[in-house]
Amino acid sequence: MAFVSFRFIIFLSILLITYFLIPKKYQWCLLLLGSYVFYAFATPYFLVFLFISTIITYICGVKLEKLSDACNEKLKVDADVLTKESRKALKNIFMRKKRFILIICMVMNIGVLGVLKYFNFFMDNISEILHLCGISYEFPNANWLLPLGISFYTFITVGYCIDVYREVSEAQNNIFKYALFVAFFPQISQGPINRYSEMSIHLYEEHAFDFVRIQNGGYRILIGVFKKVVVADRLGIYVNRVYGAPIDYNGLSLLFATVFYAVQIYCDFSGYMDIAIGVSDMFGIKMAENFDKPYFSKTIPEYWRRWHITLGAWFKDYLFYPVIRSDWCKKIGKNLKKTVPTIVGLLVVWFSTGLWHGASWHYVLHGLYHGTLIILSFLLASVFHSMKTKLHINEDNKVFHIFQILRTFILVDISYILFRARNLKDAAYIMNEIVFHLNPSKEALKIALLPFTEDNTAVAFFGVAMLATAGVFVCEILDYNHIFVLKKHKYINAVIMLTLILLFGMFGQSSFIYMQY
Amino acid sequence: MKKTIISISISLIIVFGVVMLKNCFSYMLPNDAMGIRAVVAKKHVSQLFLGASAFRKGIDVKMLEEELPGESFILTYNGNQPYNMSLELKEILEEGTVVDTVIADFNPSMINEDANLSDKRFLWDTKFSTKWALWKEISKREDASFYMFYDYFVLSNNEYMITYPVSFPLIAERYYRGGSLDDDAGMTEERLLKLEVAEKPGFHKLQKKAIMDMISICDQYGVKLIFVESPRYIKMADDENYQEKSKALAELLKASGIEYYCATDLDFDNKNAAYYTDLVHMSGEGKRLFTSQIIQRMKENEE
Repeated sequence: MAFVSFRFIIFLSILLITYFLIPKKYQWCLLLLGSYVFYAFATPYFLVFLFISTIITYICGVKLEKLSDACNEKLKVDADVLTKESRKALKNIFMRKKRFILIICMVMNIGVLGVLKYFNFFMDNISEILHLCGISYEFPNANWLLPLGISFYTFITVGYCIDVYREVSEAQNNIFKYALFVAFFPQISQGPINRYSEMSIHLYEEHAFDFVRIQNGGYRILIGVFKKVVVADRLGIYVNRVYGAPIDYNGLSLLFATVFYAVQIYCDFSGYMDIAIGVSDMFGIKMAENFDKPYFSKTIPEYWRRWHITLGAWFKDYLFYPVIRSDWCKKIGKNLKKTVPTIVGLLVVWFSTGLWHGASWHYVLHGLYHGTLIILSFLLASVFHSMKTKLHINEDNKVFHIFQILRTFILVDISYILFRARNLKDAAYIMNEIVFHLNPSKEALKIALLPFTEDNTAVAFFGVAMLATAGVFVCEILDYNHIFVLKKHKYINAVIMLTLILLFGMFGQSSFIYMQY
Repeated sequence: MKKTIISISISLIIVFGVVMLKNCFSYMLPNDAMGIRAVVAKKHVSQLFLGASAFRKGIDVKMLEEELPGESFILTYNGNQPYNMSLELKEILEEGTVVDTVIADFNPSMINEDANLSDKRFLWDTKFSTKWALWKEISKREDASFYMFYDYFVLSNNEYMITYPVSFPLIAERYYRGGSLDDDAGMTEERLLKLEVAEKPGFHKLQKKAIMDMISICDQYGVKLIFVESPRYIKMADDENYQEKSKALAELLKASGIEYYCATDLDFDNKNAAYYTDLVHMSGEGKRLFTSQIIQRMKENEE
C-alpha cells in the first residue's frame, strides 16, 4: 500500500479514528493488527518472512535476557564465594552461551536476507569466475520476489538482539508487543531503523486524543508528500529517461540527470521519512529522525552523519565497533599502525553498506567510494589542516563554508552516478561523457531540457521543477540558520504546500526509491 | 481545528479557481506560433496540414511558403488521432476561419487507438466544449479512472501556465506557422533497426467515425480534403499490422471519394536511414525531400 494513495488515506483515517475510540489499553493491539494488514497489502506471501524473523528474534531476545539474568543472579548469590578469576570464568561461560544464541539468530535472520537478496548475485559471480577459468557453466537464477522491507526489518531485529545481548536494552517478553515493534507500519518498508530501547518508551503507552499532535503530524506528512510528488517524482521522469538510455543523451543531459538525481533521491527518501514520522506522531509514537539537511554538510563524514542517520548508526554500533574492537583487529593494530584497524573497520562497513543497497557491484563500488573518501579524510586530516594554515584560510569564514558544502555535494553527486546507473558500464560511460564531452552550448542546453517531456513543454516542466526544488532548499537554508519559517507560519505554509501538491503533484508516478532496498 | 479546516478550504478554493480559469480561458492567451489558436488568428489559411508529430517534423513550412500559393499552416499535436483531428477541425471552422484545403495526416498508427489525450497542449489551445467532447469519449474507456479525470482537468498544463511568460517565447521561437524549425540529423541504419515497432492491429470505430466526421465537416464548409502519409522507415512500413491498417484506411478513403497519397505513391526512399531520426520522424534532409514531393503532387493536382 503506497503512502501516497487514496487507499492509504482511508486506511490511516480508519486506524486513527478507531485508535482513539477504543479503550487505551488495546491501542497497541490495534496498531499490531493495522501493521499486519498494511504489510499484507503488499502480498500476504511476504508475511511468512516477517513472522519467521519476528519469532526467531523474539525467542533469541528472551533467551539472551534469561541468560543475562541467570548470570547476574549467580554472581549476586555467590558474590562472597567467587574469586575474581572465577567471576570472570563464570561470566565467560554465560557470554559464550549468549554469543552462541546470538550467532544462530543472526545467521538465520541475515541468512534469509542473504539468500533472498544475494543468491543470484552470488551465483552470477561464481559463473563469471568459472568462465574465467575456462569452465562455461551458468548457475540458474532464482526467480523469487524480495519481501517488502526485509533489509530494514532484518536490521531492526538483529539490532534488537545485539542490544539485548549487550544488556543495553531489555527484552520484550510479550511476543505480540515485540511483533508490533518489528512490524510497525510507518517504519516497515523504508525505515527508519529504530532502536527498541528508544521506541518502546512510546510504542506501548496509552495515548489520549490530542488534536495539536495530530495537526503537527499532518503538517509533517504534507511536507513529505510535497517533497515526493512535486519534486522527487517530477525530477524522476528526467532521471529515469536519461539513465535508462544514457547513450541517447548528450553530456549536459547526463550532468543534469546526475544533479537531479541527488535532489530526487533526497526528496524521495526524506519525503517518505517525513510521512512515516508524521504518521507515527499522530499515534503519539516517536521515531528516530533519518535526515538532517545532508546537502549542507561540509565533509563526507558529516554527510553520513546527516544522511540515512539510522543506517549509519546501525553500521557504526553493530559492525564498525565490533570489528575494530575484535581480537584480530587489535592484533593488526599492535603489529602495524594503530590507524590500520580503523581503516579495516571502515572498509568492512562501507563494503557492507554498498552491498546492503543492492546485489550488484556498482552498489558495492558506491559504498567503497564513500569509504575511501572517509579514510582519506581521516588519514589526511593533518595535511588539510596545515594546508589551511599555510593558505591562511579561516575555517569560520562563510565563503569557505560554501566552498566546503559545494565540494561535498559534488563528491556525493559523483557517487550517485555509480548508485543510479544500471551497471558499471553505464556508470563509466556517463562519467566519461560528463567529464570529456560536456560541450555546453545554447543548442545543447535546449536538447538537455527535453527529457522531461520529450517535447517543447520541457522548458515549463524544468522551470517548475527548479522552483519546487528551490523551495525545499530555501526552507532548509532558513532552518539551518535557525530562521524557522516552517514552524512560524505553519498555516500559510500548509495552504501553499497543499495547493502546490494538488496542482503540481505527479500522482501515480512511482513508488518510493528506497522501497527496493 | 478551525484554522486547519480554514487552511484546507482556502487551498481547495484556490485550486478550484485556478482550474476553472485554466479550463475556460487558457485558449485566450496569445499564441500565433502554433496550435489551434494560431490557425484561428489567421482568419484565412490556404493549406492547413493537420496531423501528428510526424507531420510537424516531416514538413518544411518555409518550402511550402515559397512554392505554394496563399498561406500554409501546420497544425499538429503529438499522437494526434483522427478523433482529436476532427475536434480541432470543427473548432477552427466554427470559429469562422476560412480554410481552402486540409491536408490531413494519413496515419495508420493511430486508427486502432481508443480516445486518448497524448498532447496536453490540445487542452490548453481548445475551448471547454472541445475539451469536454474529448473527455466524454475518454471516460467511456474501460481503464478510465478518477486519476485520469484529475490529470486531464486539474493537473494538465499547470507548468506551462505558471511559466507562460518565459516558456511561451522559448517554445515559439522554434516554430514558424506551426512548423518546426528544427533541422535534426538522421540516425544510423544500425540504430534504426534496433528500434522496436509497436503497431497493434484494428480500426477503432471511434476513429472510423471521426474520419467520416472530418469528411462531413469539410463538405459542409466547402473545404477540400486530402490525406497524405508521412513515409515511415522501412522497418515500420513493412510491419504486418501497419500495412493492414494502412490498407483499411486507404479503402475507407477510397470508398468516401477522398484523395489520398500513401508513402508508396511518393518517390521517397524510406530505406535511407539519413532521412529519419527514428522509425516515424524525419531528419532535416528527409523533411525537405518529403515536402518537395508533397508540393510537386499538389501542383500536379492543381493542373
